[in-house]
Amino acid sequence: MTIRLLALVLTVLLTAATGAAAPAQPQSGGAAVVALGGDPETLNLGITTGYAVGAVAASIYSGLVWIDARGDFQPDLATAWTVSPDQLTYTFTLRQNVKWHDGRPFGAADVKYTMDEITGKHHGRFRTAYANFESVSVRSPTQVVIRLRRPYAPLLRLLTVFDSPILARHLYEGQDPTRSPRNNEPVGTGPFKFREWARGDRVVLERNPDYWNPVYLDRLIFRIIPNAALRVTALEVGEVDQVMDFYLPKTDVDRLRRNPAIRIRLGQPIPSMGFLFINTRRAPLDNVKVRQALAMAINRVQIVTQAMGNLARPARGPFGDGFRWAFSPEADYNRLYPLSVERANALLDEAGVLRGAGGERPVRLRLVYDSARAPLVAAAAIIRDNLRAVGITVELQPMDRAVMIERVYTRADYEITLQTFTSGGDPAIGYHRIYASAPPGTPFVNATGYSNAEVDRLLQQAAEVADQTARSRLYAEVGKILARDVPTLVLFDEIGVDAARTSLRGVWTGAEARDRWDAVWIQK
Amino acid sequence: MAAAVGPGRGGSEFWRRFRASRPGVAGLGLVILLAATALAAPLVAPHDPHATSLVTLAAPGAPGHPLGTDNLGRDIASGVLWGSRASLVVGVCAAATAIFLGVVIGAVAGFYGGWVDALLSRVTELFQVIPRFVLALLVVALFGGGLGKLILVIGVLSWPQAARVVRGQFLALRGAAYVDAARVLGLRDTRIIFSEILPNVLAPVVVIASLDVAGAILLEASLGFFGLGDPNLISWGLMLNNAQAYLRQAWWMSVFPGLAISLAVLGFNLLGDGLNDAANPRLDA
Repeated sequence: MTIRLLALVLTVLLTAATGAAAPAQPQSGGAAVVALGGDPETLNLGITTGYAVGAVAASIYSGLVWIDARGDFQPDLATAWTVSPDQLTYTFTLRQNVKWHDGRPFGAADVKYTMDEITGKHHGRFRTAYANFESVSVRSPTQVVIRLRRPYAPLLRLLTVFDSPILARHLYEGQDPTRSPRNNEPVGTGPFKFREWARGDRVVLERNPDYWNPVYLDRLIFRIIPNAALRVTALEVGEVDQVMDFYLPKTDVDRLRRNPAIRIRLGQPIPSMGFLFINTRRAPLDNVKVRQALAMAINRVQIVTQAMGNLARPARGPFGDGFRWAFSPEADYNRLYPLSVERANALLDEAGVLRGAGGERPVRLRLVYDSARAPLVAAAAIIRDNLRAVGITVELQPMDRAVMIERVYTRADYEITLQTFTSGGDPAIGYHRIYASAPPGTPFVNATGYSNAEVDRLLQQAAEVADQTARSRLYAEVGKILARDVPTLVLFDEIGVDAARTSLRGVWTGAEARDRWDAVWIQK
Repeated sequence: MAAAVGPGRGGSEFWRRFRASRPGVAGLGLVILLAATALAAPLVAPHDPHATSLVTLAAPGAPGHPLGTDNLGRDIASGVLWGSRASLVVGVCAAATAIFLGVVIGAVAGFYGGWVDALLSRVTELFQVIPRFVLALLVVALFGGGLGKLILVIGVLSWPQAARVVRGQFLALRGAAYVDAARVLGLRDTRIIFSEILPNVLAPVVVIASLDVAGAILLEASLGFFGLGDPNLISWGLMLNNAQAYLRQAWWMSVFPGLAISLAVLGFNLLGDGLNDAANPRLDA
């Protein structure tokens, strides 16, 4: 009886407590401080994909759309858009009465100018989308039409402020956008206006009172703190309100998790993965059975727990599980390649690489990796140990990043190598280049020598079809081939981590921690 | 400079004086311990030092892991035992390289004198003023840190001390009566250098060799600490490098390899002291 009463009291108290914590009214005023690891190279987001540039400039400029924390598209400068049935014509209706920070009106001509003259020519990722463009045309001051030469499924993804920020035509026309003085004193349409940039110290932005949504912070300050440990300390003592994934040392995450004044967001919604590339040009790795044996011998769970500190998920297939619609049970590593020393041994025996007198097989694999990345250093030691259990000798070859890129991509002089790739928001943007046939020589594209016409055809189709069900089917089909052939073994899906002080409210409504600072406010 | 403790005549005398030197005996004990560990590592190590396990960051005293485990569940005790091999091999071979170079260069400079001496002495000084560690760091970072390369780099950067001592001895001895006698007999220069004079300068060279081993072990560990060792070997320096990120969570990852490095370096330094005491009795008192 007493216990029941106690339970009742507890329930009431708990309900009251959660009730108190329920959405409070946003408060205006104050300044939020965000840590950066280094100065942005410029504040023109239209000519670079630099991380720090995006962190600052995403609040100054706007894109046509933004992507929310669930991964859905939301209206930014475009309030509505329609796609023609043949997937070739995209019509955008623009937001009305938007003003540039200098007071001039924003319009469709700015969109066309930016895409044709700035981002289409100079932006690393948007350029690849622009290559599929037939034209960008202004139908009215509030309507823009993009016509494509061939369907390009990830187009909308590349219209966010990070890939396609819209710049002011009246400020850039007739200039080289890479050298404009405007790049240091940017004028945009975003929630914050540029105020000052003290290099090596801070960038200060202030509220744009004319923004279409309410903006709560008076100022948004980016502090440049190159030392990773100091960035975390600054967050812990409250000098800094947020450290984004890119700038957060993972070894400190456990400690931050236990700090009640700090909130952690796990699982950055832009998937990225860790890979083991297998050089299929070299015997005996040209034998698919040997590659499949590697897949069964390498302990992906151990890599995730010990090398990644559990900030990853063991990989499930050639495209990971970050895009649920691109994941197919038929390509599921857990089914195809469960950890099994016996089956790996059997496959190696079948492939004819038999154990010698000492129990070792005549296979010596050089494992190349970037020596500066602690998780890869640990993963390499695990893989060496895993493969030794099946009689394969691994020689660790850690090296400087620049040397590593030359060895792996330019010269393909390796047997296996550890690499990480970001999807960029769509498998077609980030992952196709790993599997599609390509001659050696270009950094960060297929370095395994794997070439399969059927795979190339399916990937090409998957990039062109916009319908997600149809894409799903294509990825299932290509995933099945890639999972069977294992030119690269995916090791893990990364889980990003952002950290912020709990007093900072309304954070992370966007997929990117760098986005949507208009919604952020400070609890006093 | 106390020149000759003649070889044959002074052998037992040398050993008697060495035994009287307490640091020397202690050093010899540590060096023998190190050598025994290196030889017996496969027999006494409880685990394969490369073997990972799911028992991560176990504290010392955990079942089967007397000194605990690291972030990948590797046994620290086994790492410390196996690490003695890399340290000893690099230390002895690098010191041998340094002594070989130093003796040849010092002997030639001291024996011939004149412009040969002037030239070689300048080269020696050049190598002496180069910050050894920074250069080693640079070379290993550029060309990789395999065992052979480490030995070569450390050896090549460590010869000047031996060269200077040997040169001094040769300068003093080249006018000695027995050298003149050898010349009159028409012996070739190489024969005079290596068979007549060299045996008389070996005592200080042995002292330097011992100190060089200590220096080489320390340098190898420092390079490993900066992540520039060969990860395919078990090395105390690399264990320390790996331990950096876990200082706050797992002290045993750094303390035990650190202790091993200290003992090895101390051993060879003390041995050098003892040998020096035995070789230069006049410095006593």
